[in-house]
Amino acid sequence: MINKFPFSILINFLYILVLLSIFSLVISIIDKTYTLGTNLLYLENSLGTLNNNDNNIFYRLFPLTEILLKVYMLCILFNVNKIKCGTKSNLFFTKKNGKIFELLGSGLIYYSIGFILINIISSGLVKFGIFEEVNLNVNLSELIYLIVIAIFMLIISKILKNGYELKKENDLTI
Amino acid sequence: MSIVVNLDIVLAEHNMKSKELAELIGITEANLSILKSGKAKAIRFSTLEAICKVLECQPADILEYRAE
Repeated sequence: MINKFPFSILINFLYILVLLSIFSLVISIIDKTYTLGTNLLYLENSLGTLNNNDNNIFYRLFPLTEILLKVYMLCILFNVNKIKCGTKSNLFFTKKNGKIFELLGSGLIYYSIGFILINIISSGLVKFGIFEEVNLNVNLSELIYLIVIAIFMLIISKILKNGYELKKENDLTI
Repeated sequence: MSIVVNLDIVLAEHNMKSKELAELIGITEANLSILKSGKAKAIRFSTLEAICKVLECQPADILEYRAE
């Protein structure tokens, strides 16, 4: 009972953090959708006068890339709840858990790379004067930490897959 | 697998049922079934020793190598 206590607290803490992340992501998506909506309304109202400046259309639609990435992150985070945890090895070392961790790891890497690319492209376009200032609300250093976590998740997925094979072999030893 | 388990034959020679053997050597019937069907990946020396002791036979009577 005492041995199980800290582990279950950790898992519950993880679920709370994931829920908070999901909540913050949803708020962020709503905010960006509102920005995109106002931009689209602006474009619709001034469609006739924007013929000389096509870049404005891309600039106004730029939050869409961020929204898509955040929705993708949301889908990734919903997978965390599918992880089956427990102190018994037959609960944790399963093929499904390995696949979920692999999905989480690779998903976080794609998400980080996506944001880094958007950051580079937007800052390049701002430098050349094509875009006005773009506020992405994401730090590059935070993305590096995210990539490190993602790599750890991929390592854990490999451990889980190998552990599953070892467990299967152990179960079939009479 | 090239290793064949002849436990059924030895059991028949001794007129013993799988359930009895499982009880005598202290493993579950399900595990004995895995062993008999050849699905087992490995067998512990302690299990082999217990089977040989109960059935009064040699490991070679139970396990046989057949080239594929």
